[in-house]
Amino acid sequence: MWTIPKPRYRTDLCAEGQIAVNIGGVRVMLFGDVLNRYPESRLAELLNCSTQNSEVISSLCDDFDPSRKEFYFDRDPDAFKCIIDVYYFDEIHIKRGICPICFIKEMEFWKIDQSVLDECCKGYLSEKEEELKEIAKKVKIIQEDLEVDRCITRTQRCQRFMWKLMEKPGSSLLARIIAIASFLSVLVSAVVMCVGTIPELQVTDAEGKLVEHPILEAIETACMSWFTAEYLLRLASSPNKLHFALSFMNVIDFMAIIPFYVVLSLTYLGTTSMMELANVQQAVQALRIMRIARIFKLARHSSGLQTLTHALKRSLKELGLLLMYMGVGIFVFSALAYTMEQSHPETLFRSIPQSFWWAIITMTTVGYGDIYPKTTLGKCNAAVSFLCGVIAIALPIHPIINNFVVFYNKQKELETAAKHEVELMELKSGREARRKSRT
Amino acid sequence: MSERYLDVNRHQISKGILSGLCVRCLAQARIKLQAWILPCDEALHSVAMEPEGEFVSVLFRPVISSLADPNGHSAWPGGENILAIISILFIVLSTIALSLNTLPELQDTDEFGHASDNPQLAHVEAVCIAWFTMEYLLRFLSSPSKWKFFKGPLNIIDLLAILPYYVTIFLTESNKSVLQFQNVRRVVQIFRIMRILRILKLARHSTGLQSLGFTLRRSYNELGLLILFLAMGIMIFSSLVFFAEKDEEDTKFKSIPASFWWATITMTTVGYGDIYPKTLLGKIVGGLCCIAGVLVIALPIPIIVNNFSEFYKEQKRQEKAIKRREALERAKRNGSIVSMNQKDVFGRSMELMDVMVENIDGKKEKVHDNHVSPCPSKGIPKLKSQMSSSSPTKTLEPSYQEHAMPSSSPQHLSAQKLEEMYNKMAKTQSQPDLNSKEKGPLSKAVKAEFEMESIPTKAIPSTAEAITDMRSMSSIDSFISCATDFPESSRFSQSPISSIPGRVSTNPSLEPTLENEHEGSQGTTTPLIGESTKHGPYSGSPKSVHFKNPLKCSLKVSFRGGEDSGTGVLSDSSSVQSPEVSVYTTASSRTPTKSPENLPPSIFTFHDSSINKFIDADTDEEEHLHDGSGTKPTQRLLEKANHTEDAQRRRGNSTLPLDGQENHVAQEVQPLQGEQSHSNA
Repeated sequence: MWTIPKPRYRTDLCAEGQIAVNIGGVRVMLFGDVLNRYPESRLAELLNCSTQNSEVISSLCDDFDPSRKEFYFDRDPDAFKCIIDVYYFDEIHIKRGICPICFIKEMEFWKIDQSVLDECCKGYLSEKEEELKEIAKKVKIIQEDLEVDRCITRTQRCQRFMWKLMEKPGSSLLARIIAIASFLSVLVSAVVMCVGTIPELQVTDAEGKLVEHPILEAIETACMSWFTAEYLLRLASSPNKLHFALSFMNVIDFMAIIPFYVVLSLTYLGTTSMMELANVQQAVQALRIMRIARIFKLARHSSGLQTLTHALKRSLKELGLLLMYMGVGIFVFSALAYTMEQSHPETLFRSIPQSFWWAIITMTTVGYGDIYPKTTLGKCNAAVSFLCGVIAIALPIHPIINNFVVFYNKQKELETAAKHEVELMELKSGREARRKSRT
Repeated sequence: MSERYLDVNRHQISKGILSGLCVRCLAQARIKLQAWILPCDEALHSVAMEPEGEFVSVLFRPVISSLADPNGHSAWPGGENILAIISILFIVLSTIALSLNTLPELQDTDEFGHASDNPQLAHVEAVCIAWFTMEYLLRFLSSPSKWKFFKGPLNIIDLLAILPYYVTIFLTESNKSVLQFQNVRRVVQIFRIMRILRILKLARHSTGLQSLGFTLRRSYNELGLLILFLAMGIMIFSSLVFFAEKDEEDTKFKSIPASFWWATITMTTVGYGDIYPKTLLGKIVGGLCCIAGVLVIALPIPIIVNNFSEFYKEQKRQEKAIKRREALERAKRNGSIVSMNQKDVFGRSMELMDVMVENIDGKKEKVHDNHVSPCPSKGIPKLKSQMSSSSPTKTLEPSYQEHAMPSSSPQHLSAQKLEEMYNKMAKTQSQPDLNSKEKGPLSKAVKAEFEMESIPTKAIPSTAEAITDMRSMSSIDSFISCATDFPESSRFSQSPISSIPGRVSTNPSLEPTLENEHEGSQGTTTPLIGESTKHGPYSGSPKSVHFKNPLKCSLKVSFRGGEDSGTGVLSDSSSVQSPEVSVYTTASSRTPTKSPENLPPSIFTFHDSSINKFIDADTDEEEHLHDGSGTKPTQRLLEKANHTEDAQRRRGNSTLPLDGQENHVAQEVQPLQGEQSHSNA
């Protein structure tokens, strides 16, 4: 491969079978046989038609100097230096600092297939392309917000209006108020759920059982009706019902609402003695836990939480690693602790499964102190276990954190970039309008 | 990159050229600029805004100025440090007294049988408060803008540290006879708690604490995220554990709010052990809670940490720059360069340059005195008035402010000329030294310069090169502080000047140093030309070409002149010139500019530590050039409007014959140098 002659950067006239090209001021002499390795590329075409009429030549290059047999191209010489590699090494690496999107355009100009791009640079390119796509998506969203709706039918317009009202808090004052109201109702319902369990605030019902205070129950009902109304309005106004029903946030919304109605219907069934009352009450108790789902409704209002879910989704592998490390550690250290503590007469470690709890609490450095080792060996084991726990947690957590940070920062950057892009488009359209008005 | 961004801002039209990808890089720069560099600037400016009251007697001024800014800025050399240390000692003392006061062994009992302060400690407290009050009042009196002073966060802390004491005294004195003493006592207790605030007074003396405060203010988003994560986790796990443990006998998880405490202590892995789950289900929830807590707390913290380090870096950099300026000004105020600290050899040589600039400035001011508006006098008026004309920072300052106004093109150039002069001095200074070595009769100033020259083993021209090149170091610095991970290609770092035919065609056989000489000499000629043709176009200066080049220019380079970066001399010349651009652009934008990455290595291969130090010193000098320009960053950003025409006009003039001036210049330099030595002698 090294025997192939290098391009010569000299100013002398080229001999037979060579062509001289001048790319953005950089003069390069190229050998025909080398260029012919990629016959479909622009340079090879140029070489093969260099004896023919000037029309073909001028279609291939920007300018041609017949006396010096030099072809001029008004292209980026830096990119060309990378592209020329393909003739010698059959692969292309993008030089650091050249925008890969730009580079692809250059490659298209020189009529070189993208497949010759080396893997390492392909990753770079695809990364950038992904970013571009995301920016484009964001720009589209912003533009949709700005767009004046020109729907044909009245119902469609109504639907669009409702959709904007419910989904785009930034679109109008009313939409913002609705967003704030829904945020507050989530908070209130969560607080009510917690406060309702305080024994002092509960009242005894006819059967002597503690039930929630009627005021709290009223608030709960109000919040629930608000959630239901919100969900239904969203569902009604959404352009794509199935997509809406299956999206993550809306599933959470649904989960937050449904327990309430299930409980209502169950109590109704219970009172009408279609089901046994005890069963009904058990079911109701179980369903109360489902109320926790409403806290996740906050995610709709916080981009940070959405980022968290994204990051966790992306780092599932690391999470698995974390759990595995912890699991291994728990097994090892609880077994060790159990055996070492056997010698002590009043040991707190009665069985290995029981000492699992101790192992978790020690390894995560929580240390409640409900179970603790009493023998010297057991204490040594505890020290080792907590050191190992710190490491076992710290190691896999780093990639997770990294994912989160990268995602978070990228989100911010892409948002700014999208805004920038929109500004740019406005600028362009403004310029065009000005040009039109001038002419 | 960010420089590009600013360029884009300046020339709205050029925006269309950038593709979406580059837009992302711009977004990065934009975020960085808005989040860190500008705020840091503003914060520093508000801190460094030394209060100088006209009506306070001259007698107090040294005290005041040293009180006002412990980082320097005083007429007493070293006095500010002493005052700062005393202040810190008082703060520490009063805090210790405050905590000792609560020891039961040290407390007294008053007539009502309540514990009251130890009399000795009360004295300590009174002394400390007296000091704090004096400090605050002097600062307040000496501040130029009372309202601004009142609003400053550090001053609010100071006030809050003092006020409780007086309120307590007032309340106890006025209510001594009144029966409702109990209520007063309760109020007084609350005010006693507020005394803790005085520990925050330390923030004035610690950059780290200020950065911390600033970071927390800037990253409230992330802090909010952290709290939100924690709150959600606490809510979920406490309700889960409540449902799990509900049916246990004499459980401590009586309600969800009661188990909040458990969830908090578990998620933060504190684990007091006062409440812990007992059922199997509860233990599983507890285990999950631990792991989730570790995760959730760890997630947003790196972002905050990153913010902190970013800001801290920027603040350190700018503070260093300010310190350099202080040292320089102090030396100047002392009147003679000779009496300077022996340690500060490199700083001294810098000042030499400045003094020379001063001389020329003095001359020049006769010509352009309407351009160089005098600086607001501060410190000792007499010396200050000298200084305002001498130091380039001071002279640049007004002209920058004028930048913001439209139709100020001559002012531009006068600022540039100062810069050129500065360059030339850097150059010519080292040149005559060679001659003077043989000649013998030397001014002391030149001797001082000698010291510096004798240390480096390199040839003197290389020093000169360093002097002119070190501006690029400032851009390195800022580049590092604001490095975008997107690497700068050669086209970004290309100096736009190389697109101009006259420049590019420079003879490649010229040594880099010659190139420099060329530069410097051109610098000399300009003021002279300006003098001779008083109202003539100042754009005769070739350097004006690369003062705020339009983006158009640089874009052209990127496509046509790309090859230049590879060939040694040309790119050398561009590297010599690009610093100018970077200086100005940083001055105007406070952002990193040209990437120094692919400057040829020759510039960075100084082996002598002395040269490096020298570079460092001057870098900071450069930085404080733009620190000194007191215009608000926003204002600077606004100035973009009127550059296009200017630059275009300059480009039109840029093809002036350059080479013929060299001899003429050399002649000019010598008399100036002579004059300089005379004046020093």
